[in-house]
Amino acid sequence: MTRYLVRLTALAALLALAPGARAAEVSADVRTVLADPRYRFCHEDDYPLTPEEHAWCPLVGEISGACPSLPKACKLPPVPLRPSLLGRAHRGTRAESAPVDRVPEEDGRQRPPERLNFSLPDMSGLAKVLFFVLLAVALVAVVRAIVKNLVRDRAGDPDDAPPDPGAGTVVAATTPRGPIETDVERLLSRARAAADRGDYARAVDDAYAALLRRLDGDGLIEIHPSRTNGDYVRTLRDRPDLRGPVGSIVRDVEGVQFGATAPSESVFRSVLERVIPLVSRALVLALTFLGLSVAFSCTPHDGDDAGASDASPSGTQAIVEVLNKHGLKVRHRGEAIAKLEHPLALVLLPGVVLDDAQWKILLAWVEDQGGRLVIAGVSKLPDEVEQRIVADTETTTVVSVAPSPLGTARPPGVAWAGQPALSWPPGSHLVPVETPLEAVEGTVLVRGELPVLTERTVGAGRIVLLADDRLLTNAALVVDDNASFLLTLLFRSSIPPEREVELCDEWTGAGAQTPLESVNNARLTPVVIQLMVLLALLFLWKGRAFARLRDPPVEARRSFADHARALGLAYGRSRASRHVTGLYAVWALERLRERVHRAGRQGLIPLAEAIAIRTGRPEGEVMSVLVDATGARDEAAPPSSFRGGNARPPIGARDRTAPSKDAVEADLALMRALMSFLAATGQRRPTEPKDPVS
Amino acid sequence: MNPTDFRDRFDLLRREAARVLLGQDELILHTLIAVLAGGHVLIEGVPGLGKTLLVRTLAHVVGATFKRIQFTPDLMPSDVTGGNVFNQKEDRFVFHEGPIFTQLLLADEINRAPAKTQSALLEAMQDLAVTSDGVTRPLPEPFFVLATQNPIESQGTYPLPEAQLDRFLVKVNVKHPSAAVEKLILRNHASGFNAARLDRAELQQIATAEELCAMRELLSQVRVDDGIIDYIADIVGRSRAHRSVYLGASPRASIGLLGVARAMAASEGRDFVIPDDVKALAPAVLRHRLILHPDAEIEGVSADDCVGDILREAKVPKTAA
Repeated sequence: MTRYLVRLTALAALLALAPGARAAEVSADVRTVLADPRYRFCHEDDYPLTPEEHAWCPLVGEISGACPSLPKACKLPPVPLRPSLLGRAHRGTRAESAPVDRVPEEDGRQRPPERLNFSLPDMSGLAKVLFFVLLAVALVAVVRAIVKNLVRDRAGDPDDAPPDPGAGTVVAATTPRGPIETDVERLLSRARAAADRGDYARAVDDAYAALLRRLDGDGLIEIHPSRTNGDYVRTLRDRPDLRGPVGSIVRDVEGVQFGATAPSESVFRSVLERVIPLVSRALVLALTFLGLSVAFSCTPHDGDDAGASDASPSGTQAIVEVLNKHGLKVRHRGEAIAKLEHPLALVLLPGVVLDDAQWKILLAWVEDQGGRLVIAGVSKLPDEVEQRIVADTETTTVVSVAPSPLGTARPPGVAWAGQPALSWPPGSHLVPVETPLEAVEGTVLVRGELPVLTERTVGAGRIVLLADDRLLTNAALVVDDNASFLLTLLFRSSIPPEREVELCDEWTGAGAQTPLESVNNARLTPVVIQLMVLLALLFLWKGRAFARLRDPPVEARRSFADHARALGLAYGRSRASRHVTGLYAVWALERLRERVHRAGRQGLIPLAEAIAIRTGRPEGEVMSVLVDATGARDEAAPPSSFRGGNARPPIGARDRTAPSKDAVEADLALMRALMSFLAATGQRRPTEPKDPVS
Repeated sequence: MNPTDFRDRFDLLRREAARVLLGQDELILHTLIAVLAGGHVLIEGVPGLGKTLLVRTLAHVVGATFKRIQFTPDLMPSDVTGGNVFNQKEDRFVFHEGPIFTQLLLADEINRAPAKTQSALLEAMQDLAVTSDGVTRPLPEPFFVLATQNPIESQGTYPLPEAQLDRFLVKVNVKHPSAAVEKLILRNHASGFNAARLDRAELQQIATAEELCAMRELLSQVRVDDGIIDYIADIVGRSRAHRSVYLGASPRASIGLLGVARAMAASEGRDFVIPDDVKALAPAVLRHRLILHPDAEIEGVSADDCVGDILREAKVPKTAA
């Protein structure tokens, strides 16, 4: 009698404490959640169901408002999956359910793989921004370095180019130098090695070079062979935090390099001690900032672990979402159960792996700390639970409230909105370990006469035992008042005000505590070791510097053509085409006379004759060009007889007004004509040897 | 005297001169450096920038005897050096010293005198002596010439011959002061400062002629590394090979550059020269010694541009690059 009273009180409390137990409201939330296309079984008519999932089909009916495609998928035969690919569709051991790739073994239909939903776990917005900024910067830097090297290689390495014979006049510009070390770490190593050898002068030089390379790498200075240390310090005028320390180092280094200060270990140590913080400052700051932001942004109880759940009919994704909509904080537990710290509602699903020691810890947690334990379909239960799960022969799918011994189907005061219609496929029921069937303590729900849900108080906590876990699957939400009842059940089991509920499955305790453990759990250790060996070999072969070591680019001297072009543009801007034509005519006429030298004959006429013979052009045309050229020449450099104020302009001279466009064209045409004469007359003919007597 | 004393005394000199000559720190620095390095200074600038004031101020603070020659087209060499005058009473020629017999000589508008008169300074500037009628007379020590010239007015001027130019250790270009400095100058004058009456400016004499000589002596102890020697030689060598330069700097320029670099080092309390000293003073030492190609001049290239090119190409010794 007492036992029945306890059972009725439990059920009354269970149902009375429901958050209004508004079944309609819960159903609406179920519809909203399942409307998400991630739940493909509700949106794809040919979604392949496993036999276990297919067992729900008789309960779904012909039409389902919450999950429209499930009735159609139910009309297709179930698809058995390979055991190694079962995933959460079949809750079992962790080894059996690692991948989510669901490839049917016999059916042509394929359950599409879960979408890869990439998210950064437990990182705040700032940390995410920093992460992506660093990622982008690194990517851009790598691409830039690759492109820069490719362009350089394509353009030809200036270091490999043969020396310009004309550059020999520049003192020391082409002095060959060995490759310059640009890697900061290697420079520091070199400095230490030199110090170990007792070569402190070299050590100081290298330590200081490391500092300059770091500043150069940070974009604070630009190293160039013509820059002095003072130039670098002055460049840091906007960084007073650096200018002082760098200036102090420079003074000591220059004392060794140019002064009478003997390079000694103390000097080297003094320089190195000041260089090291500056060299490593940027890296340390970045790492510290990143580490702090990540550390402070870690929120292990955020609860938003949607990516960790399964959206298949056998998964729990929709369960989590629906429950979270009603004030519960439901998440999948990744940490080991042994690390339970404070009381909460812990739901054990079939995949969870617990040994005897862990069970003891768990039960002690319930008894001493008031934890709420919901065990759903876990087959191996310790004796302390006093009940076990066995397969039943009951074929009915209807689950009902356990009848009271007084014959009342519903306890008084139950605030359930209507008769709770609960249904799930037949499968298992609970039996006591020692007592007969009818003596199962705290039975809340029965299927037929077999208990499927019991509840009892243990110490300060409570244990709820479910015969199977199918009430905690996405598919269960589609049927009757299952969702509403589940909400009620877990709401009652949770502890206010946090109302945390953690689902424990095969992944619980699988989370790594250290990065190494994580790598090892992912079975990536051999790959990582191979990668490390490869990097070590690459380091031994190439060193740490990226790409080839190169000298800094040398500022190229401008070519003569650049000067000529600039000069031409300057003349063009000042509209001095006539002046240029005149100067060119002076030079061209002189060259032409040299090339078609006619001994004893002066003047334009013999010159025109000779050019006409050489070029094959009409003599008149050649003469016309020469007259124009002479006019232009005399304008540019008039003979003394024309320099007087009243002198007549030379023949062919043009009006001294601003040249029109036509005049400019005429000047260019004249220059081209002269150029063609020069090209046609070719190289200067060898002059006849002079008579030594004359 | 040690480098620290040198630096302290140098700073005092500089600060005292800067009290009068506002906003011309570079001019004061380069002039003092050149004076301490034992050289002569050619100051070029438009009228009214305080060139003469600088020289007078300098004479005051270094405690040197000071004379001024206003160069004009009719100035004769003997007006500068002095000459023998027959003394009827003693029945012999007596040498009358010209204004050059002083420690600090201001040759104002030096390019207004013809080359003959300018040449009267050659021996004095190089050998610190004057020869007249076969008798060589030494000039008082320290002796330094501070000459000024105006770059704008070309009518009635005689450009200094190359030999004369080469004897000036540095050439300093005086620029217009900034608006802020000009306001300071105005406030200074408004409060009663009169450039013509320096004695009222309460200028302190910071050093004596003997102390100046002692400071010069110290420069010989300033260490010069081989890398610095190479750097100076490289810079001067490049000036001879520069594409826009017709005639580069002479070995006297190298020696001068070394001297001013030493003075610069000492002025900062160092007993060794660093490349910065050389680089900072190379334009002042080289700019008046470079003769440019005509086409470069047409293109608007200046000697300072060429020196800038040279310094951008010369490799600094013991650099990390």
